[in-house]
Order: sequence, then structure tokens, then C-alpha cells
Amino acid sequence: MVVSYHYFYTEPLYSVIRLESSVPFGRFFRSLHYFSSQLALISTFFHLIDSLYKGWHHKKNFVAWLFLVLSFIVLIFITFTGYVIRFDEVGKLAGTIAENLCLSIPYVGGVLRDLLFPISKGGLYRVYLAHIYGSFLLAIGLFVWHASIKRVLSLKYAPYLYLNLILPLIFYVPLESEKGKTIVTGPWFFWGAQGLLKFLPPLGVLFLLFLAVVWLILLGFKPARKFSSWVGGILILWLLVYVIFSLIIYRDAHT
Amino acid sequence: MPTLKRLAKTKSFWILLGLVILLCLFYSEAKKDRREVAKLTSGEVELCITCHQEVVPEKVHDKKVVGCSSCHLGNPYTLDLKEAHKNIVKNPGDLRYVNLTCGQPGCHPTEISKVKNSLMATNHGMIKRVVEVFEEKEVLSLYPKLSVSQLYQSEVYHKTRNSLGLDYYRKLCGSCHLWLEKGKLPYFLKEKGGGCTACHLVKEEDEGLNSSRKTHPKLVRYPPMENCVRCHNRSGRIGFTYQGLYENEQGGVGDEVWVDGRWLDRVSPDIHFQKGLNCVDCHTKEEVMGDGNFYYSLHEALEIECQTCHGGDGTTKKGRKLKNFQKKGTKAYLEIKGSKKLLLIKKPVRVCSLSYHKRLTCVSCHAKHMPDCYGCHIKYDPRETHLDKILAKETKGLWIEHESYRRLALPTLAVEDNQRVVTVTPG
Repeated sequence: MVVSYHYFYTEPLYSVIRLESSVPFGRFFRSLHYFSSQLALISTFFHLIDSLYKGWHHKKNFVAWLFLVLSFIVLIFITFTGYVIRFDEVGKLAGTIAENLCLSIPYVGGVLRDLLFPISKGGLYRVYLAHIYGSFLLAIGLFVWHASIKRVLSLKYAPYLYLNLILPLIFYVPLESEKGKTIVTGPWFFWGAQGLLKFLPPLGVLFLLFLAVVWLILLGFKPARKFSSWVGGILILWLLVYVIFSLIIYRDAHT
Repeated sequence: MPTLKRLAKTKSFWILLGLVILLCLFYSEAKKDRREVAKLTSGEVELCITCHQEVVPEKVHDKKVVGCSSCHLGNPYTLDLKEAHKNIVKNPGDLRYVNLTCGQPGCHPTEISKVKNSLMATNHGMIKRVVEVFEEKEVLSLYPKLSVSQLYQSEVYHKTRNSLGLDYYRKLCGSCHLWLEKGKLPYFLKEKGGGCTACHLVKEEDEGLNSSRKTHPKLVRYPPMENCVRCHNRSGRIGFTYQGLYENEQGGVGDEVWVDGRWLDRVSPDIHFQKGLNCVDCHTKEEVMGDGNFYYSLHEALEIECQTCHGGDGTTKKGRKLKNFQKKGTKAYLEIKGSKKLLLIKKPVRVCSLSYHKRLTCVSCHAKHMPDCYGCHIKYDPRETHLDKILAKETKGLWIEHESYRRLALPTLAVEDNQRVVTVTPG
């Protein structure tokens, strides 16, 4: 709320920097916003792995599993749009890539671009809306359904809550400039896609990402249970490939 | 650990921890210096200028137009000292990262690749000549286009470490090229090198002792003669002779002393110098900064001749038109690039076109004098050490230059390629 109050999509970078430099506790709230999103993303990922390891995707009903997978996807989307709407130099580049990735999809690409990333046409307004709406969707539609308030407020989760508060006090994540860089990297979870884009056409990369989501959903689908070891194996392989491409990008950017 | 686990189960522990966090937060906020966000004239955010108050004494690179980070890199989006200065560069003109600074898109991208291929950056002519004199053909067969940037590579260094010719170059010539890191060498040599800034940077005086504001060095479009002479003062001593200075081996009362301790006598300067022309008024951008081609010698790279202006239409021998050459009616003028002053160009007199003068170049008659050294020789002492200008450290092997005497005399004439009579001097 504090972050969105000071953010103006018409002057994105200026307003984010002003939040940091002029608003009392502004840097803390921006860092809190950043670290909580990163922690949420990592936690949801491990929650997915944990569910698979313990076999909850089979024990619970398919809708619960579907919602967990969707939460993860929506969370990635929100984190990515958050990266774009701060509109520093790397955010700008990430936005352009996202816009062009949308456009590479045949038939529906134009509509999807206009809905989510029409940056070259209309600036950041819709990306900002997607970020806000996505957050509400996640908070109300998925998390509240998924976890009860009573559980969230129990002392069991206090360490995670406090971790969110301590990290922004210790670490500072500045806005990024592309100055002095020959290779600019996107958000860390996007490195693999960035690496794949070096070798595959945009549509091919999108197809691979889409395939992973479908595969993940299929894991919880009862009729497909007899193939679950195959599906799981393919997913692990996919994840390995994604990590390797992420490392390639990391290496290229740091040499 | 069991105590911590027990504590984690109590509400008071978490409340206390929350209070500690809150205190830390208030403390860090109280320490923070709050400033208004600075913007450039383009509307881009540039926080560097919030702290850096240095005056940039020129319009093109004005701080409010290009900011600091466009040239010096770093992160302009933060006031955090450490983060803001990450990856910062002191000299943006250094050829090692010039593609990210001066050569970035929107600034001077086309010039950079040309400069890197120019003789001032490759020094190929000098390297080739020295290696040939030392009869080390194997070096050139290994690296036919050996340039000074390659000498910085460890692989090339190890493969050529036994070459005396290259050792001579590294120790006696290696400070006059654009790849030299400015300020890396000691004494007067620290002023040399620096890529683009080797030529285009002029030091400005600070506003005064009482002023807290420092003055940023000035960048100039047309390098002043002093910048050229910083390097072009050895071999043929062209930088000295042009402005009427003669390097005297003995020195005397009233002599000037050059930065490296050499004695200079005042003699009559070149007529072009007297008229106020600087080196870049005649020498074209392509000659000096390269035209993209790799040249094997200075002879190949040069394109202006006396006839380009005197009797010519301002077109060089490579077919390029001088931008400061103007024709008004029957008269021709050359504009001084800095002051925009027009100078009337004299046409060759009738005697120049006489048939028996046909093979003479203009300088063979018009050059008043030229410094000549006699008995030049070098001595190599493998026991002593000498500053290697490429490695920037003392290494084994000392080169000592000797000469018997020096004279300022009428230039020696020679026939070039059995065609033209030219002036020659030991280089």
C-alpha cells in the first residue's frame, strides 16, 4: 500500500527513486516489498516441490493442486511485472522483451500484448494494473482460500514474517542501470528463459514454458497418474535444462 | 539451541524482537540524508549530480545534459555511495571500455572502431620497424598485424618475450599509444595515453583555493597542439620544429626545459605555426583518428600534402575534401578550426612549376631547417632494469641511447622511390 501510494506510472522511475530518497522509511518499504515477493516466490516453489515429494498432489483433490500451480504462475507474473514497472533501464528492456514475446504468439499475440504489456503503445498503465490486479487475485482469490488467517497468525510462521522485516534492514537492492554492462540480465527466475531465447525463437521458448505448466498441472490429474513417473522425470529434466541456461546467462553477464 | 527453541514459542520473545527491528529501522532512517531527486534536461533521473558539484566547462558534455553516468558509468539511480560507484570508470576514454562510454550508441560509436584501427592505437608502423631492425622476422610471421593492444595479452607476451626488438619498443616507445592507461606510468609519463582523452582532454584550473567546487577537465573537439606534442616530440622532432623549438644536446642560458629534462632552444618556427595553425587544422580526422583501414606505416595513413591547399582545391590524395578549406572567387582560404579565422592560402609561384623542379616536393625547398643527429647508437645492458611501459614495471634489460652530436641544419634530401625528392631525418 505504501509503495503504491507513491508510485506513478506516468513517472515510474522518478517516483520509485523519490520513494527511496525522499519519503520517510521509503527505502525500507520498497525493500520489504521486494524481499517479500522474492520470499513468496521461493516459498511457493518449495511448497510445490514439498507437495510433490510428499505426494499431496495425489492425496488432495485436483482443484487444490491446480490452485497451487496457478498461484505459482501468477506469483511469477506479478514479480515480473513488478520488475518491469519500476522502469529502470533493465526493467525497460524486460518490458520490451515481454511485449515482443506476446507479439510472437500467432493469432492471440496482439490481444495479449494489448491486455498485459502494451508498453510501446500506451506506456506502463496496463502493466501496472496487471501487477495490482494480479496481487489482489493472489491474495484474495488464492492465498485466502489456500491458507486460513488463523494459521498465518500462529507463532509457527513468525520466523518467516520476521525474515521479511530483517532482510530489508540488512540488504539493499538498488534499481539497476545498464551502464557499463555488455549483457543485461532480467530477474533471476527469468535467466533460463533469457538463455533459451539466445538459441530458440521466441515462440519456441514460450511453448517450452507453457509445456512445463501443463506438465505440472498434469501431475495432479487423476487419470494421468499411471504416467506420473514419466511426467515427473520430464519435469526434472526440464528444470535441469532451465537451470543450465540460467547459469549460462549468469556466466555471460559476469565475465 | 533448546533455549532458543523455547524462546521462539513465547509471544514476548517475538514482541521484543519486533521492537528491536523497529528501533533499528528508526536509527537507519534518522541517519539517512534525504535529498530531492535530480533530473537531466532530457528528463532522465541522474542522482550523481545531487552530490557531485564539479563544474563541466563545456556545453556538449554539460552535466545537466549527459549527467555523470553516461561517461563514467556507475549506477545513477541510487544515493548509496557503494552502489552508486560500482563499476565506475575514472577515464571514460580508455580504449578498454570505450565501447560502453564514448562509443555507446547515440554518442560516438563509429569513431571508436576506426580509432582502434588507427596507427596511434595500433603503433604497428613503429613495432614493425623496430622488429625489422632487430631482424626478428619470426615475430612478424607469427603476428603479421602485431599491434600494441596485443602486447598487453599474456599469450603474446610469453610467445615474444625473447624478442629484443619488442623489448626495445616496450621500454623506449611503449608510452606513446592510445591503449596506455592514463596515470599508470610515473613522472611526466602519467600525462600520456588514455584513449580518446589522450587528445581531447584539456586540464582546467580550479575556480580557486577558496572555492569548494572542483572543475571537471574540459573536453575539446579539436585537440590543442600541446596534446599532440606530448607524444610527437621524438624521432623527427616534428612537434618541436613546427613551433620553433630545437632540442639542443647541451643546453645553455635561456633554454627551455621540456618535461623530460631535454633542453630546447628557440629558433624560427614554421610559417603555418606563425599564422596560428594547429596540427589538426591541416591533418584530417581520418589521418589522425583513422579511417577504418589497418595501415602498416605512417606513410600509408597520411593523406594531406602541401598541394592539397597550395594550388589544389582542398582535396587530399585519398580524395577527401578538407572541411575547413573554402574557395571564394579565385582565392582560397583555410579556416582555423578553433577560432574560425580565415587564412588566405598562397598559390605556388611560377618557379615551382618549372620542369627541372618537377621532382621536388615543396618541403625540399621551403623547409628552413631540420634537426639531425649524428652517431646515434643504443646500448643494451642485460644486468640492469628498465621500466617496461606496457607492463608498467621494471624488468631486466636496460636500453641506453647515445648520440655524438646534434645539428640544426638544412634538411638532408633524398630521392623517394626513384621519383620524388624529399627531406629525410633519422627517426
